[in-house]
Amino acid sequence: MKRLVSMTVNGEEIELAIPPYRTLLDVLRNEGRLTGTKKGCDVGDCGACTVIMDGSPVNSCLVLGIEAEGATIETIEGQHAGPDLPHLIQEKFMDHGGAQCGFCTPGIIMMTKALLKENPNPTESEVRFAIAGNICRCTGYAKIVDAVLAAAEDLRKGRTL
Amino acid sequence: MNEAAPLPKGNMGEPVARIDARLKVTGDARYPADLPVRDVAHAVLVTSPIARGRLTQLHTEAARAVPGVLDIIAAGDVDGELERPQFGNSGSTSIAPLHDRRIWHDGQIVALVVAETFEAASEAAALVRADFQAEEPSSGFGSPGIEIIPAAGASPLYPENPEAGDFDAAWATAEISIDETYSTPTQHHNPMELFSTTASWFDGDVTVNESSQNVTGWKNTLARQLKVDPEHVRVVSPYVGGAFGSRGPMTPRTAIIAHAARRLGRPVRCVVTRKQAYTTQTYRAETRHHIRMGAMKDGRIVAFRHEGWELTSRPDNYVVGGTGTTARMYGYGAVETKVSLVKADRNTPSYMRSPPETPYVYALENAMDEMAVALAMDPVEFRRVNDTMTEPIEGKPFSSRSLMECYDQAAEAFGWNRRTRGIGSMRDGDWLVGMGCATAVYPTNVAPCTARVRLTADGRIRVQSGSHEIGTGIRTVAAQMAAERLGAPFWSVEVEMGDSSLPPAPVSGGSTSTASVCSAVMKACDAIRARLFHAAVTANDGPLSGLAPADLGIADGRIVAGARVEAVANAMERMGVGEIEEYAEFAPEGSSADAIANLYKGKLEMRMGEEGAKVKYAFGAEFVEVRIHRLTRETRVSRLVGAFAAGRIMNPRTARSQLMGGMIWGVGCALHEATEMDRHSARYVNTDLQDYLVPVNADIQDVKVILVEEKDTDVNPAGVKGLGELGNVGTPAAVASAVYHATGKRIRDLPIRIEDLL
Amino acid sequence: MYSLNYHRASSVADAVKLAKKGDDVKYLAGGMTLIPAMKTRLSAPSDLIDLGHIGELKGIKVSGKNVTIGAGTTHAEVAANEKLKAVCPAVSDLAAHIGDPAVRHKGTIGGSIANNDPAADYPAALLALDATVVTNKREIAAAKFFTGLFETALKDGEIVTAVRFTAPAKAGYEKFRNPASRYAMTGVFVAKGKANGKDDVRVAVTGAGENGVFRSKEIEAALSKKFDAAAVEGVKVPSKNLMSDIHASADYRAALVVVMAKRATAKANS
Repeated sequence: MKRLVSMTVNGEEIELAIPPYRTLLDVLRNEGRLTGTKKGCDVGDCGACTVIMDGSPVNSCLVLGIEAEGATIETIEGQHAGPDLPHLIQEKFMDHGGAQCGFCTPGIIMMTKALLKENPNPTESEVRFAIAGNICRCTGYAKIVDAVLAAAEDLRKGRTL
Repeated sequence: MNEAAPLPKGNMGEPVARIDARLKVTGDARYPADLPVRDVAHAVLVTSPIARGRLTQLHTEAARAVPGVLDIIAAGDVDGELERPQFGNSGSTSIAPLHDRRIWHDGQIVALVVAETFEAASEAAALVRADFQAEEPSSGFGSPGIEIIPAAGASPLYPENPEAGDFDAAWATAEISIDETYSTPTQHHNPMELFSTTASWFDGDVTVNESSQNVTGWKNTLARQLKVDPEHVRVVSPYVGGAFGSRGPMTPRTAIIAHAARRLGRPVRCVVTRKQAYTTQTYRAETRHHIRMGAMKDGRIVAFRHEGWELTSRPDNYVVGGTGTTARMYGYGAVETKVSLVKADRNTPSYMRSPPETPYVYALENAMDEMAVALAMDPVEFRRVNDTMTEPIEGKPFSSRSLMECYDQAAEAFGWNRRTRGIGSMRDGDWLVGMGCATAVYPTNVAPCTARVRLTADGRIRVQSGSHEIGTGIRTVAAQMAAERLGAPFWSVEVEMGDSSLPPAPVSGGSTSTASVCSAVMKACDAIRARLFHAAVTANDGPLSGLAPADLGIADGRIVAGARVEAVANAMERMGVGEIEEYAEFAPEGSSADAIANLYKGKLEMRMGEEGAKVKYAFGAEFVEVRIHRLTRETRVSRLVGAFAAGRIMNPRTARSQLMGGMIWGVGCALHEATEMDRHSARYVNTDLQDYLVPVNADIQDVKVILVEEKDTDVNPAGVKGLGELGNVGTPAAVASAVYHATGKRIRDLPIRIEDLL
Repeated sequence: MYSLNYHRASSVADAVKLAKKGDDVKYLAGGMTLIPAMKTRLSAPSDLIDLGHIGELKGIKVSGKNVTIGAGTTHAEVAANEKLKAVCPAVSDLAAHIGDPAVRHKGTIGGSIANNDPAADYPAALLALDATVVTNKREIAAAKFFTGLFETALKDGEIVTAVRFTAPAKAGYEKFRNPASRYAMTGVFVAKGKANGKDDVRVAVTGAGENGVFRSKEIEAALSKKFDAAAVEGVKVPSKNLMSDIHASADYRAALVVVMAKRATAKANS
């Protein structure tokens, strides 16, 4: 039995008819038509499905869509500084080669945003700790960490998230 | 210029940022399971819980009763409509899961459930009941019931065991000898993107969206299985979420899904769970090695024997045969090798990142370190004594070899001279410190390739080649090649890849892509240049009239000869064209006359590094520092330095990414990665990313990649040596050597576990 | 999972009432254990009662040394709470290292202890702190609450509403993590408080025992003599009744218990 569920996604209030058993990840990708958030394991091991829900980063594969009723969700599609302008974090990932195959990238960027909102001045250790739940098979993480630290540095110089 | 984009040296290209980086960071890069497909139905695989036996009956009533179920396809349902898969040549296995009732391995596909939603299909799949006549399986090395056969001749990939001289005689003369066994475990690629197939038919034509390293091979293989002409099949894979070899061979699932879509009259999508991928996709087989090495006191190796055993399935003889590389690595005296296949009740393995080198060079480089210790020689000097510019098997020269240059540069950057030789002699509080080094090597393979390039009067360039962007940056380097040859800015180049309707390219495997694709792109660009230059010099009244074409160049959208210039747009206007498009075919030296025709048919003729008048390899040297807690034996790699020489570096940024990612992969290989098995049931146990330990955000703070300048015009026209599979080859042995240095324990079996060090 | 009824409870009383309606009802807290279990069909409830929006289950109260943590408080919230950090930083530290960030922002203390995963961190804290588990029906001492692997004293339909303890003078937690996964291979929580006017040293071990969390008499004896990391050196913890699995043998876990106890004690004294 589908239920009508409303939530705010990337600033827009939407109403979706969803079955109770469907995860937030699948709701965003199917009903929401937002495929930027990826399914890497579907059991909460890899972090590819990270979105920000009510200000907190979560594995959307472990959240039921219906749990998100009334929630505020941010996904990768909502991250841009302006029309056609990449977000600060996205810009740094591009500059530093933080994305190779690109599959883990949306999840890591959302986790990075959550980190920098809570701690705009992280040490390298804190960055590594923050993305500990996001698996990347290609890069070996070094460039990802560089990109996050570069974003933090720009925040210190007055840019905004 | 930042750390990510170092200044290029010598014959290196510009470290431009990846051409598709933006799409990836915005989430706009679409992987196959992201594509919106109208009316798509969802399929879920049902797999066998036993490893050996026969499927006797399938009960599907409960499954069919689940609301939303559209179809259940099982063994026997495909007869006449689907051909059996073939092993080799883009097919992962001959096991035909929906043709046969025989069970060859755990997790074999026994049925496919198709439903309106993914959840309905999953629910129904869980309700399918299968009856089996189970037999006791052989799970791997040492199991009762395995079959051992010589690898030489069992596969076209390994025709013979390389050898030279009289090993027994030389072995008898050796003053110091090493006689040891080594092993590497089963490993799975575990790319981040889940495996999936989406198939849609329209008017007799099928489009398959699936991440692939081999769209042309798959197109042909799929057509044969579907019993249609290849012209009716298109495989599309513009973005691949990691591959490492896993997406090279096509598995039986692809044709099954295409068939399901044809049967249903609706598009079908199947996203395989990560767990099911362990048994329905491929993997790196476990290996064992027995090495005998005899040397004189001055360090010269006079006798080298490498025997290897590799696991494979019962029906298919998959072999990696890394003796082809280890037999040629140093200036040995006599060489003897042998490889055997061990057949067990397992799914068919296939290639995974440096398939022959990872296990075989691990064994050899461990033995090298053991010998250096036995000789009381510095491991770097021991390599120096045995360095050679001529390989020992056929006496052919290396087209180039900068191994010792790599060792020397890496040793210096690493601070190797701070190493004190005594076991456990270096400490930092509660941590034992160990330092080790090893050689990295990978053959320079190159393959036939085609490309189409178009230059328009407004300066835009389009490059088309059916290669595959799997995270290596090939799109970027192809764009760089075109931009450079056609004198245009990098951002004016658009690259289309990953589509079997494009001019075919070889499988993105064997690290051939940069060399092969760039060579073809270069040829197409040169054809465009030839047309432009011809027009410029034969013009009645142009600024470059009468000059020799050889004196012309292109830069910044202008044809130039010294002070004389003509804008490309002007030249084209005089030619009466708005664009020039050229298609080119590249076949490496030594290819057969049918090489390109075969490429179109998905039959690849790869020219391997050891073939030809000169042997072609990329080399590197890797140095590792480990820290081991004296009580818990927790092992961390604290520093990594790798220096690599791979001919012309098209893009230092993407090259460094590949090498750095490779070295970290190598650390995971040394310390973490292994697929565990229940030996009794022959079933994989750690079939998820929680218990299969890939390198997570590890404590490796300090990774340094040095690109050593090297010029080689023999390898291929582009002068490029593949390096995507180079960085991970030396790391495991370097780690093992460092662990020995710290603890005195020589761990010969990967992965090195804490318990091994207690 | 396919046929599922979802109910959002507005209060504990509401949750209990809703739970009476279904065939096979489960409470949903953070979902970090339940959702994966449902996906693998290890758990197949007909009805889910979502406790995640119940105000009375949220919040951390600190009054002097007395701490009360609402069962619906996430690990991230426990880790970040300044008042809790001031009186018992060991618990903050423990919470800050559970799982990974995504798990910490959704998983709750109530959900975690009700599940009693043998590798979870909280049980060690609760046992060492002599905490009280408060439910909608009664109060249960931690020592009586954790009864075995994945088993607790909770009755059908009973809901954990809060965890209460008195912050001890000293406390520390250390766990040895499997290098690549999240769960504690072995975690030790040491606490030095007062009971009946005398010093009371309690050492609880998780991720090691065959029956779940347990107190280590041997280490408690050593630390009771002197609450110092050095005092633990040389203590032998028996490996009988310790877990052996693909990650570690019982003997190795026994050795780890000692090392973790030392580190935890050093933290407690810092």
